[in-house]
Amino acid sequence: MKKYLAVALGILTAIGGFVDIGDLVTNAVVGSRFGMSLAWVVVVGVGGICLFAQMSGRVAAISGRATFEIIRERLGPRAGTANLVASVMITVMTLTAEVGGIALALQLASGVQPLLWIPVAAFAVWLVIWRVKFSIMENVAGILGLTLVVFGVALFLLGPNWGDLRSQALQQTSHPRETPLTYWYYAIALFGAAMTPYEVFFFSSGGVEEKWTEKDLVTSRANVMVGFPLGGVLSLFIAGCAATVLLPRGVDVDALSQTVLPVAIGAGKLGLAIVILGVVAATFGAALETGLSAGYALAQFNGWSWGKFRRPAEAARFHLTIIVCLIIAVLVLLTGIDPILVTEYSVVFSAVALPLTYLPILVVANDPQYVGEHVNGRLLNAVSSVYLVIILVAAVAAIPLMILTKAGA
Amino acid sequence: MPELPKHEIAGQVLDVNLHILDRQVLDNGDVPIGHVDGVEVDGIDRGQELDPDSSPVVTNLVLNSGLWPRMFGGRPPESRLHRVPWSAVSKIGTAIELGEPGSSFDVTWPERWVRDQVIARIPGGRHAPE
Amino acid sequence: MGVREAQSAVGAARIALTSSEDGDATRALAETMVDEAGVRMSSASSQASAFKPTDRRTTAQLEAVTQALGDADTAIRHASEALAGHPGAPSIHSALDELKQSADDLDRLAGKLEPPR
Repeated sequence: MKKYLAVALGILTAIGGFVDIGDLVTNAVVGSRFGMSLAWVVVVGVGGICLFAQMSGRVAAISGRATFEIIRERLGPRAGTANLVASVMITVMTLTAEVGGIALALQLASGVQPLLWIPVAAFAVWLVIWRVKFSIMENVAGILGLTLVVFGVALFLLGPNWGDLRSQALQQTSHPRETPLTYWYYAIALFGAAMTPYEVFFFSSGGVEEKWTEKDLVTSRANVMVGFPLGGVLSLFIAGCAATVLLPRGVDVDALSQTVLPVAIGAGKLGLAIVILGVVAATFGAALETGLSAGYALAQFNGWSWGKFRRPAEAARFHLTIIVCLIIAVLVLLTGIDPILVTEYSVVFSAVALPLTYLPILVVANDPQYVGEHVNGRLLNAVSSVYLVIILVAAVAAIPLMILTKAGA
Repeated sequence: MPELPKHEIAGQVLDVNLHILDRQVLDNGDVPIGHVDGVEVDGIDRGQELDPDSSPVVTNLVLNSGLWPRMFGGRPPESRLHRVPWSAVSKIGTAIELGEPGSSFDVTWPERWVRDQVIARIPGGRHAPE
Repeated sequence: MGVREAQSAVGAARIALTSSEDGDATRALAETMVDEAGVRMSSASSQASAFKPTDRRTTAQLEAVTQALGDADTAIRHASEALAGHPGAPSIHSALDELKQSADDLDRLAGKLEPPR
């Protein structure tokens, strides 16, 4: 019985933890401009992250080694260092977006300007990383983030034309104000939002934090295979709400307020209060994860002692890294830059950085030295190779498309 | 896995590149100390054939030479090399395990420095998370 | 030339006001949305002013766009005042009418500017 509860908790946490500011904003933007025509990208992205997380979790459980140790060991000095630099930069950019997201959500709750919330939010994130146990942190943020399911409730209450939504998704109805270039640009952005690299550093390092062994493989697989797809459904609800309320009115989403407005219209002030709570929880949780991931990446690559399971005094450089990253995030945000803009760039750059982390994990998941007898099966390798191609195509096309479409304008 | 040469003496046959370089080094408490950046070998004289009777001996592991040599090659000056004697190695698996605590080695000084100067000064640094 | 941004801003302001009227959105949310629409509007106006007309036709177009954007900007400002409810501020109802007028003007303009697909 206890085992079932643990699995259920893990799944709920995975659902609530799946959505971050990148998913919130990108799905809303896409819903308001393309309706559901990009829904298939969410499906593909969720498939990819499930694959990816499952492999990295397996490696962590069997070998006790986490992602960036493996990257250092397998890629050699120069490629490994380049990988590290790029990954840390992307992760810090995402961290900046998440902290900005917390501040925006708190503005919606309180009316107080986001600029004032930024140092408060960053401090709170640091405090939780410093003092709160890993499992408690994960579970609370995940469960609270689950309140975002109110997007689904609101969508049903809005009474959309389901046939319209379906035909947008399946028949790719055209949108007169968009071009194929913007379509594919946002496809890549949505893909990057679903398959964020930090998720994998975090998942595999979390596995080592929670001291997974072979016995935990089943639980971790359940978390991933059930939790993440349900998280993807949540993303589709966000897009659906935007498609139902904002698309017909020609409002292109560029703010968090517009993202949550459909919930207010569908579910009233109560729904609004719930969704704001959900956004705060989801972005806070994601800020914790990205902050820790930056620490994990740098510490693991350099061989430093790391982990929340150790007292901060026993993982000094790891914690120092996290503090420095949070300070960088705060300084960037205090320049007054729009956090939504940071978010939009971070998801596209995430897509560019994906191959850097995906490829080493794929290689190591096939290496018996690391995973013993649990190497990838042939089917898994076939599917993973297909994804590798998709990821490479997306990574290569991202920057040119960004330039051509002026970042989706 | 490439074919490793066979030897008459019993023991583990290792490929330096595959199994030792860039590997995580743990102390006897499973605490990460660093990673292997180099291996020091004694008994190789330049320009001379290797003598099968007195084969070269691995003397030390060199750890944590920093990002610069990783990216651009070369190595830090002699005095800055962090050495761990080969005799301290107790097991080689996916990581290299040492038989002694990290505090016996000089290589852990940056960690200790950050710990004493920064982390210990922030309240709660010495406590386990709750 | 910033027309699309203006349409988006006006649309956001409209829906903010109506949801506030319907009691779905809190006043705080509506005010935030209208403020953000105002910022978007300024960005649209600067896009328009950056545009360099090349001949008489585009000059006439630019004039029409600048006029429409100016009206939209005023409408959004009135919406903000209506929400704040200061004495002498326009009523929400009249602000909504102004916004609707602005939206219709922009739609008509957009139809003339964009090449038929």
